[in-house]
Amino acid sequence: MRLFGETMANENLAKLRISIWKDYYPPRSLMLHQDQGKPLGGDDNLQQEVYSWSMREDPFGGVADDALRNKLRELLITPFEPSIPPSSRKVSRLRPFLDEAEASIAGGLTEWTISHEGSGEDEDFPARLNPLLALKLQLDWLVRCFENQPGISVAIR
Amino acid sequence: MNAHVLKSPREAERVLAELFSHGTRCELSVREDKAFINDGWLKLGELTLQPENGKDKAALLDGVHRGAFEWRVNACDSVESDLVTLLAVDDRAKSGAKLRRIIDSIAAIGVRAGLVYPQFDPHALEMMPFRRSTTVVADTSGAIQGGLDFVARHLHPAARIKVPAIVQMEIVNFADRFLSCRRATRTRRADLLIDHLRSQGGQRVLLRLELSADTEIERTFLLGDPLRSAFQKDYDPELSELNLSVEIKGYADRLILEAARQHQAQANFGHKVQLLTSDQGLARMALAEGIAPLYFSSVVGTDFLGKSVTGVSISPFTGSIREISLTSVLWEFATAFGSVKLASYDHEHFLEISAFGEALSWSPYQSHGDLLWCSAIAIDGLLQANSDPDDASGDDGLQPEERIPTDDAVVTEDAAPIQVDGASTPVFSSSKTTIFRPNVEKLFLLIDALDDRQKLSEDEAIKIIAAKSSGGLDEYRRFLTSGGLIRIESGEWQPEAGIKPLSIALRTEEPVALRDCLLNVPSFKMLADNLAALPIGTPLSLSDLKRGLTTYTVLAECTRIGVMLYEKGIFSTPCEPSPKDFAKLAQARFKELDKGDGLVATGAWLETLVEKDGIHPETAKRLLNDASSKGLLRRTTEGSTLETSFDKHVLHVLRQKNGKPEIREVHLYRGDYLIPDKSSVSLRIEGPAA
Repeated sequence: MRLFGETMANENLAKLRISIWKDYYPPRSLMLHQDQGKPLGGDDNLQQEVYSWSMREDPFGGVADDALRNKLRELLITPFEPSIPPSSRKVSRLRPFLDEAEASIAGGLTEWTISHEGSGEDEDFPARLNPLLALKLQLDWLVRCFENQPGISVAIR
Repeated sequence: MNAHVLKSPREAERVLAELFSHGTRCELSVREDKAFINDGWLKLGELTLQPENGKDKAALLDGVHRGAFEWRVNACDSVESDLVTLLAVDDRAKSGAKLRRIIDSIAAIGVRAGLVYPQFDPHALEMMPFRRSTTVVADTSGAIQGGLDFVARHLHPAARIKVPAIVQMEIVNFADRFLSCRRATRTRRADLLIDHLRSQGGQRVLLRLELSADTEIERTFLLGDPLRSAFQKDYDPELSELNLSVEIKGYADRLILEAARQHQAQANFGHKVQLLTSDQGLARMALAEGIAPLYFSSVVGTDFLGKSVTGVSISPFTGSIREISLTSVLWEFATAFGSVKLASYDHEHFLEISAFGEALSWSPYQSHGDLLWCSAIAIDGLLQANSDPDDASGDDGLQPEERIPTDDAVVTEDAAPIQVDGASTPVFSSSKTTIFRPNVEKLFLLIDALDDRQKLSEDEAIKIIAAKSSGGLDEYRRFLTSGGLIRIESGEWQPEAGIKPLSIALRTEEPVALRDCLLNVPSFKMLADNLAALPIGTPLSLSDLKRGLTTYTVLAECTRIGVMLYEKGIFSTPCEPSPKDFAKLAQARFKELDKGDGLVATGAWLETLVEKDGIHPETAKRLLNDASSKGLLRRTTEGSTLETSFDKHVLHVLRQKNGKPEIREVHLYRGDYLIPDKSSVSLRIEGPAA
């Protein structure tokens, strides 16, 4: 189990990190203290990370239109900032982003870009992908898996 | 369409690259040849290759190999509507459950191919990726619906996979039911398609994991003697009191769970065993018995259909790039349906990949090499790619032992009309060539028997042609001897080398090969040469043919070099236009014949195509279906009562009956010829829908 705030070793490489959290109810009561000994609160606001995924590509690198890129970024990042209470970061709030991404892909507004990961391996044909499509497929899957489970929240950085 | 050639996925990539050189956007369709009517194809969407440098061949090849494609999969509604037409569903509401099962099974192919992932239970997903060695025992749903592939791709090597024997048995059972359904006289189209998708798809999963992936698969033994009870009712009174013999499927589930329990009992302390299933009942039973289910929801159509998917995605756990070759996707669909087709956007270039079909053979080496049958229209390199020294696979593509009757319209090298330089006379001259008059069907039966038995006594030959005496054999012996097809030794008929290809052509109903083989016979060659030299629309002079008129008419019609039109003569039929050109021609001839009521007699339309355009009715029939399925024209037929007043307008076609060649007389005006299982006395042809 990792507690919220714990860092990943490869976090610096990641352009995007998605974590799925769920309410954590410890089998025995816990108490957290600040240095001065003042309690931070009870067990009822603990969260446990149940899944994390990092994307090393720029998810919006293939979106040429600045306004669309900003809109997509806004839809993906802002609702899931870790500072927002978990109860407001439900998995279902990913839907507006997924719908916008689907429309952009279907409308041909996204392009394939060279992957940061495999760019040095083959000079003639570096690894390429449509990063927005790859991200959308991954998020689609996470939404399908976690959407109905209570106490689940998403954090995206 | 070229002849079918066996290709490994790696070899087929070159052909695909060639196809994409004509345009990076293609249409993807699939077909089950028995379940779909009129040789129809089910469209599954548009696929666009995204190569690094436009039309550069190396870039195209790299794009195909590394999965640089986007596929906009058709939505459920559209696929369901197409299925209703292709499966000739009368009552859509009544067949709703079956249609949904088919659509769900199509989505499962996408999951197996790795284009989308199974929807796992959140609790199961939390445990992924496994941090310590875990054994995953798969049930049949896990194999068929893509869960097993997900485990092999993303959770191996921490996950060790076990496939209980009962899973294999269940899939073999599906395959048996599929084959029985295929052989049945009355085809239950929807059931046939469901069984095909489940059985062949399931078998491919197990074969792929066994032969290709670097995943280690373990098997369990059968656990006692329960299999008999699992597949047939057990009337033991003690068992019947427990009602076990009714819950046959539940008993098979029990065996799978027992396999997991047995493995857990033998495993070291702390080694986890999980049961991979999408079956709720089995998952609940596993939970109740202390086995953790690796549960995923049953795959449904919307999991895959209506989505954009790609061959380059990001690993669900490590975040690294995953590349899925386009051929691996096409192979999966070809196996599940029987055939998959990629067509260029202008409908001029096609690649068809088939795993199952009439006259397509299979041997274990094909599974070892993952070889499927490929054929193409207007794509270079189908055959050349096999001998390319740069090909890393090292497998040679192999010609099928039997040629496949092709359905697509194209003028291929094989199908090119016979050309005779300098020939100018339309008169059939037999002044130096002897004309024979054997009965063609009996002649073909003799050829078939000669190839089968490799020698025939005179008595045997007499029996085959049902002659009264040896005198009846003369015409046959002389015809075959004149072409060097047999020799007579000690009164026995011995086949020469030309008999084998001839008998293969008869068995595969391949008219071009049949024509080529018969060209060894001088009288037939003269007929072919004279017909080839005739201008389209000019009948052959029959003055010298009188003695053998019937024989040579039937031979000309079976080999498609000519057709006898009643009271007009034999016309040459060398033409095979492209589907696009044929669509224009078909409409033009329809308009000529239409007297204002919007319908023409099918026979008249076919005869006009023979007389004015040199198109054989068999060719016209195929091209009409082809053009219709490609949306190049719309055809409507009417007339459920057999029209017998023009019964002298007949055509002779080569068919097979009980494995033997048969000459079938087709009445062009009767309305039972043009579209199988559909009355078509009258015909309307219109341009494509706007």
